Amino acid sequence: MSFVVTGVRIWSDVVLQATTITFNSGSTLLLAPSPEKGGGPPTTLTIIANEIDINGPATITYDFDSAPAPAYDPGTPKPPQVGMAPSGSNGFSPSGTGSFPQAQNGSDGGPGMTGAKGIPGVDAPEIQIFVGVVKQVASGKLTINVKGQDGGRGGDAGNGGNGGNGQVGSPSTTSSSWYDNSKCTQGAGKGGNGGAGGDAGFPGRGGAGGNGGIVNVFTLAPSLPVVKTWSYIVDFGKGGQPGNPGSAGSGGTGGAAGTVNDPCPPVPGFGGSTGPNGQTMNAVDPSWATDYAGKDGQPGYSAQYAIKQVPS
Amino acid sequence: MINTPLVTVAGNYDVTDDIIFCDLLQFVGISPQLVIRPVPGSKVGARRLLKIVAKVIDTTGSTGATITYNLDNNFELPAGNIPSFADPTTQTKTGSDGTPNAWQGPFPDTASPNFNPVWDTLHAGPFPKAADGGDGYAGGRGGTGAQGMDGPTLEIWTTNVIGGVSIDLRGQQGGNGGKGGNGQFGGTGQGGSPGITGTDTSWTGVPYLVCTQQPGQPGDGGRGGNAGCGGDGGDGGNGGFVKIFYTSGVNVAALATMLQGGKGGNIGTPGNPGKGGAAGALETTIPVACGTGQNAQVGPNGDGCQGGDTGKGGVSQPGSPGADGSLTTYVVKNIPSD
Repeated sequence: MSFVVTGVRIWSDVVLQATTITFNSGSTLLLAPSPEKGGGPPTTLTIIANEIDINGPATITYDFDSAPAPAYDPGTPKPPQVGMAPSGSNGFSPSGTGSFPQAQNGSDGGPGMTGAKGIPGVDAPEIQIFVGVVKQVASGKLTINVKGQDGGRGGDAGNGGNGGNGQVGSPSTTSSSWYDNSKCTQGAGKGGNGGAGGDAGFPGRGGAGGNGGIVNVFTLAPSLPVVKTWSYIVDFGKGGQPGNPGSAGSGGTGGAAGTVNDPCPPVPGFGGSTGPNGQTMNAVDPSWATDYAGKDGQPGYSAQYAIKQVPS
Repeated sequence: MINTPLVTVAGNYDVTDDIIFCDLLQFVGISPQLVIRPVPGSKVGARRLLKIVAKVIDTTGSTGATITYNLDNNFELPAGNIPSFADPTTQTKTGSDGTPNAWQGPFPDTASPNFNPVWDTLHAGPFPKAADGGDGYAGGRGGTGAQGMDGPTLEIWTTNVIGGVSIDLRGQQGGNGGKGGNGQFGGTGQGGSPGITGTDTSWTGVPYLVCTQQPGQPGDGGRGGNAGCGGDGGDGGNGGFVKIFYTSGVNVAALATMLQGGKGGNIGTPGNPGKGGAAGALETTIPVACGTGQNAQVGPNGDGCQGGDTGKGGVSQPGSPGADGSLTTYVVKNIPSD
């Protein structure tokens, strides 16, 4: 049986066996899921042939995620995570005037949610080729590109919620009598403190890069020099970039001190303190852009061997 | 490449080559294991393939013959039902503990300033409000558990199988996340300043005491540091792939495969939040004319971080399970030879 590759020809089985396999110039044998057959992608391929004819530059590569051409998986990263994780809720701000000695504090803002993890790049397939004879025109060269796919970008994180504002302090109280003037019976109350801002959400980690593939070619001794001229691309995929971290929530405003009525003494500084801002990602981890990037994959390898008998 | 007429597997037989050509692959003794190990020079996590071209695979001189793998070179205790230290039956490493990790035992790690009245002789702070205790730092997030090893690809070419072999290339279970760090305790607030009195006279000319400066408010206690969240669980490894090329008449069913994906690791244990600092002491000798002093507030405890909630430090996530591998069998007329 002959098997001819012209243009782009998809192959979706684990084994490709033919008497003769012919690669026409500019052709691509694409390891990819078959729309007709369904199922997952074949992550390993064994090619068995008595003879391989190469009539010009040709390629064997893979496309497991059905991304549109012209670039297949080795040249296209996984798609980025879209959207943004939920932001934290804003803190509660109590209304009115509070009780003595201190009014109610604003509640803290909620932290932003972590961004979605990036999609990992796929590991490149393993390709094993058993071939008796290789015939190749002068301009012919087979490129086997099983570089690991690059990981996808992580998702963006949610923002921290703002802290609630502190309540206004209670007013001072006085008493008065006809014989000894007015008296201060209770000083002005302190305003409530503002709530803390919510922490910034962590960025989604970038997807890990896929591992490079493994390519072994077994052929009869006379054809070994030819298969050694082929191009074997077994590099690893790079890890995806992290998403953007969220922004930190602002601290709530402190409530004002209570109203001072004569003759009560002034109460400078009795306003509630402003709540602290939430932590930014830079404060938590100054090197987050590196730490939250996806890990690179590992490189694969290729080798060529001479054998005495090829399978059939 | 290993190229020899006879390969005998007794006990643990480690293979670091990627190809074995032999006439007879023989398993002998009790629980012999052919263990696929990393190719020299390769990094942990790299893909691994072993091709076995054996005319005959014979296990009749053994019990419990197995082909499995150990690709992470770690020493891990077996967790599965097979008494083996190979990757499919062990769980990979737990993530590192989170740092910082505040000591919370006797004499706990406490934020500064910390106006502990026992050794802080300058109790009284400035008017109108003394200094607050320092806020505790948050515990660090635990490290992510290591990713489980993917099962390798095993390609077998054979013309005869005598006896049976278990091929265990299940994905390794991901490591559990590391423990989150404990939050630091908040500092104690400074003591409040005393009230100050003066005199005034009524319209009848009688002097009486008035309060010219109310007692200062003590410092609030510092906020306890948040608990560090447990680390994310590591993803489980993918199950391996097995391709068996055999000539007609070979009992392929004698090569039993286990190719399930590994489980994801669990979220690490969260740390404990730090306790809020105590409020500063109120001045005890408050003049009657100055009424009541204003107490300061105890610092709030740090936030906890329960697995899966929205606790600060980012939501921890368990590892994802690995995908199952697959088995392919294919009949050929003859197998390669070298």
